[in-house]
Amino acid sequence: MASLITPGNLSHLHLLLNHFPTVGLTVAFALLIVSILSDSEATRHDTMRPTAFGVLFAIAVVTLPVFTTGLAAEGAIEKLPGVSKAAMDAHENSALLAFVVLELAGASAWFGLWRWRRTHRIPPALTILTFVLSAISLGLMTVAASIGGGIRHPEILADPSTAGAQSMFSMSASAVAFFVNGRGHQWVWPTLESAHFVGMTLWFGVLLLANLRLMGWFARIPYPALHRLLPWALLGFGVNEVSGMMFYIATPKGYTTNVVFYWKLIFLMIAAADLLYLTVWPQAWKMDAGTPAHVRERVIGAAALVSFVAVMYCGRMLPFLGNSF
Amino acid sequence: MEYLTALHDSALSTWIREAETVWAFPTVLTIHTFGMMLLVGCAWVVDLRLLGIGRTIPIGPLRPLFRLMWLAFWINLATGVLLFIADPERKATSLLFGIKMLLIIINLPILRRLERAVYGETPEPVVVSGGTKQLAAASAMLWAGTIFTGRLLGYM
Repeated sequence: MASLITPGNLSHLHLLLNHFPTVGLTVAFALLIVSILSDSEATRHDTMRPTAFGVLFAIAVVTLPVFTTGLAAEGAIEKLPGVSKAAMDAHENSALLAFVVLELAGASAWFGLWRWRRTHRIPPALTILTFVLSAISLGLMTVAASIGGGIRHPEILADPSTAGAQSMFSMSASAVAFFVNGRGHQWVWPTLESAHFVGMTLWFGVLLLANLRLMGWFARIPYPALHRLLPWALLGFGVNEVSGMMFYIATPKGYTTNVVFYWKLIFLMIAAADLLYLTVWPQAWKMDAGTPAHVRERVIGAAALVSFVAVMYCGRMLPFLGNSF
Repeated sequence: MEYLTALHDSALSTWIREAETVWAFPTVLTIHTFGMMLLVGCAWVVDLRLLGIGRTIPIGPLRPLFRLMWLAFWINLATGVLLFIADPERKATSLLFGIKMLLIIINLPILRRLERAVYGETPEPVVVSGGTKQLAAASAMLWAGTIFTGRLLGYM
């Protein structure tokens, strides 16, 4: 298995995945604009806008492995002739800001979908917020992608001598790393670890009850009542994404060289998809008190719970399996 | 102190601490983490409901969550004892460990009270009493403190 995570494969993976944020954001953004301008009530509220929001949430989630394979790709090519460390840092810093704004857009889109499930309307304030955040992140992502493209293809730059120049639209990854790892900051990593455990537990509690209901247990509880708990799962997700990204940015090589970390990312994608499923799944919404479970929900629920435990397992075992730390 | 040293030098302690296999310390620790996630995850969901999040969730049917919590509690007591055996001298003299144990000891009777409250809250609909809400808030905070102190123990 370990042979799959060669540096070459990882930079390949980054080159494959890195198209999702820009292309996906463009698609989501186009759907969003059509859904805002359309005269059709159904297009505006029932079909296209929720679809745009769903795509946005999915892109926000998939961008996590895009970012993390990026630092693996850096490790793979940093010693090649003609590769500029400065250009890679400029790419990383602009990608980090784009990533942060995209995650905020994804959270805003999730809240829109959450409200939509209950009222069949996405509140105008959330539509505006999601529109603005996704527009900004599309712009920032384009800048980041352009700088990234210049790492191996300086000929595409208007002025090749600018390769490696920091974009003004960036967030310093080394400042984040210093905050986590710097001299006198010994309290930061343990505190973030504690927060990471709190976030995981909160997310798991909500996910467990909601999935168990869909699987047929707790049959006296109508599923729509549990919907109110879902923002707490997103809060746990958010706490863990922030703390997790800080660990990762501070010590990327502890993760990028360990196959267990990639397993964790795969299971994390499934757990995040489950959050979207718990939020919008029409059959779930129809589950009143006493409604029995369908085999489909049983399979999905079991897969989601197993995946979440696997995320925890891979994370907790990361220092002991493979070669990290 | 001699007891602790003897415990530290025992075969079981040495095996958990030093065996070159993931089935020793790493697996015990991971099961302890799983128990934490199950116990506190269920506890927080119940606490949120008692505090008024999701008022349309009927409270009585949440009862089976307490069975999961007690299952997880016993799992973590067992794995916790093993983790203590692996490192008795430092754990027994650690302030952080003492605080963690204290938080759990305070929280267990609260958990029993909340369990009785949930059992009593039928038929629906019900209004959760102010006292139960305070207990739920206290219990939720104590669990957060337990997770924090427990995780920080890894860095002492």
